[in-house]
This record gives sequence, structure tokens and C-alpha cells, in this order.
Amino acid sequence: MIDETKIMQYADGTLPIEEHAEVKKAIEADPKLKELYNGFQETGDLLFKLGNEIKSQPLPKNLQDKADILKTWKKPIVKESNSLNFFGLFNIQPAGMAAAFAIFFAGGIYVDNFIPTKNKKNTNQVIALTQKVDDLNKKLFIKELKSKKIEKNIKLRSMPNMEEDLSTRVTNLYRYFNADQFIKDINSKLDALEINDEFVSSLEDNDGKKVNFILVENFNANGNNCKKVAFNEPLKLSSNDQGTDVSLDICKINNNYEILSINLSK
Amino acid sequence: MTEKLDENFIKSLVVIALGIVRGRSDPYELVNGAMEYLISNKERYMDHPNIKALAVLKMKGLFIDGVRKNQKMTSMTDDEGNDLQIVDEKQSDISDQISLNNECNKVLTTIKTMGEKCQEILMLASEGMSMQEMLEITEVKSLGTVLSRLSNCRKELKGLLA
Repeated sequence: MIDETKIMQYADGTLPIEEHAEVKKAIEADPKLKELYNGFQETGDLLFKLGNEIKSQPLPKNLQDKADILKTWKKPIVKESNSLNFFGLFNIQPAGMAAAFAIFFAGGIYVDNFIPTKNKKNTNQVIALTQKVDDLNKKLFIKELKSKKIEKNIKLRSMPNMEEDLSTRVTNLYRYFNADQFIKDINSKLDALEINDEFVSSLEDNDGKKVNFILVENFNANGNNCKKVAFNEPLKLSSNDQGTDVSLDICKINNNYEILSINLSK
Repeated sequence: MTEKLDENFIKSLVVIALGIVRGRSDPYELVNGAMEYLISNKERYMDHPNIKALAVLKMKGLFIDGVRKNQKMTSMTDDEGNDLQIVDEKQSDISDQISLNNECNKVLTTIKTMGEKCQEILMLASEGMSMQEMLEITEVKSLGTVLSRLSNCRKELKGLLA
């Protein structure tokens, strides 16, 4: 028996994606659950509209004055404690930020133009890479967000926040991640590394702490030798972020390593 | 800090305040009280990790203080520890301060007829809060309780609107 709260979460788009199939199947099989699902969709939309309608009202002057005071409290968005601090670690790259958003909305997170070509010999690798991107998208609920037709049927709770949190995390990563510097640092080291070897780049955080990376996996993509390296600890990339595991897929192309993709997962 | 502190932050507090006051006092006054408290304690709270939850809890405290003051009550619970239903003859109606469209006005009016727990959680939901945020603000024991309460209240709302 499916818990009603799962129907509600499914209607709101907040149910973990791995539970979608089971709940969807149950709804399709049981008219009562379908009715319940429709009811949750309806109340979800009504509550969302209500919240927006109230928020569209102008504030009384005394509260507007306080809002002006609050604005002076604003601080840099990722200046967080208890997190790996990226300030000062990399050069800020406005173009990178813009690219990050463009790439994000295109449905994936790539940092280079490396596009595996399909041929029979390497079809599995290509599919595997494609699958990785798909998995990443699923983890980040990008497909979920798209399928929900946000502008029309945007749901309550956490979905807008999730989208906002994701875009913030992606932006923050790109703001402080200088891919060229990173590749320069590790290019000469990667080939000598074994799985689970930890290595240090020249990258440091504000406190002078070295950022360590771990070689997680060797794999082959379209005939290129590739490696997956991961940051040795979760990164807090936004104020909502409880910790994001960041790994990089790096492939050797024309004797130089290039970053194929950056993977973010909770 | 999870919130961008601007007028939208305050507007989101207004939505939540509507669920707290339950039509029995002015939500803007409640928000104003909480904001005055935060601003006067800026140094203490500007780095708070969840300033919205802090503001909401302050609003709840201010509301209870106001009710106690008006009714000269010393406790918000009865002898068995159950929450007292607050009855106030002079009810303030937000609708004379804001103009909602018919559909939203009907939903808000309906919510105001519901129990206080439903009013609170439905307004938190309409503000767009996540379950975790609702858990922190409602101070219930578990996420499961938040989920089931919201689910039941939404079913009740659906029934009342039908």
C-alpha cells in the first residue's frame, strides 16, 4: 500500500526520483489514488498561487523601511563557515559563470567541447558517458524540473529551492574553479597515479589549506584514456548545500588531459 | 545565510504570519515585531544559518505573548497540557489590508476556518517551504509528522473547497 504522503510528494515533485516508478504505477492502477493525486495537485497549485498572490502585495511603509535596512546585511553568497573555502582559491571567471549557466540550462554540465563520436567499437563507452550525464541530470532533478513545466505547474516546496540551490552550486563551483590551472597542476601527475591515490595540487583555500584529490577510476571513452578524480571531501557550494561530492572526468586527448565533465552529486 | 535579505524575505514572513495569527491579529504587526527584534540584534543574528526560521519562531513567540497579554493568560495550555484554542472576539481580517483575487481569497478564507495546526502548515506550504524547513518551524518530532499533517490538511482543504 502506497503511503498517501508519497502521493503528495509525487504530486509536488518532491518525491525522490527512485520512488517515482512505484508511485506512478500505483496511481495508474488505483482510481482512488489517482483522485488523491489530482487533489494534491490541485491544492498544491492553489497554495502556490496563494503564496504568490500574498507576496505580490506591497509592503506597508514600516516594513519596506526594514527591508531597506536588511539589504545592508547582504554578504557574499558562499562565505560559509565549516566548509571548504574556495575564496581566493581560483581566479574568478565571469565568462565561466555565464558558460556554467548556459551549460546547465542546456541539460548537462560540461566544461569542454569534447564530444565522443559514435562508432561501433566504442559504442558502449559513448553510451556509458551519455548514461553518466543522464544519471547526473536525474540526480540533479533537471529532467524533473523540465517535465514539470515550471512556468505553468510549478509545485510547492523545495522544487524552486532545489533549482535555485543547484544553479547556485554550479555557479559557485565555476566562480572559483580554474579548469586550466587545475589541468596544468595535475597533467604531469595523473599518469603515475594508482586508484585511490591522493594527490595535492597547488590550489589552496583562504587558510592556506591544500585541496586534495583522489583518483577514483580509470576508464576508456571513445578510445581515449580517461580518469575520474574526486575532491577528497564534500564541498559546500551554496548556503543550502549540505555537502556536494564533486568529481571530474578527465580524458587524455592529443597527449593532454582535458576535463570532460564535472559531476555534482549529493 | 539561506535567505537573501530583502523585501521578498519580509513578504515571505507575511505569508507565514497569516498562518500564525489565524485571523486574530494583524500579521503585519507580527512581522514588524520580529523584524525589529532581528534588526536590534543584528550583530547576534546576521550570521544565523536559518534566519527565516528564527524570524518565524520569534513571530510565534510574539503572537503568544500578545494573546496572553490580551487575555491575561498565564499559560497557552490547559491542565492536561493541550494547546488552548484561542478565541478572540475582535478578529482582524487581512482581507481589508490586501486585495487578493477571488480564488486566492476563497482559499485563504477557507484556511482560516481550519484548525490552527492546519492553518500554520498550509501557510508554510504556500510560502514554498521545504519539509525540513517546516519541521524546524513547527517543532514537531519528525519529518513524517510534517508530511502526514500537511497531507491531511490538504485533503481537508480540498474537501472544504469542494
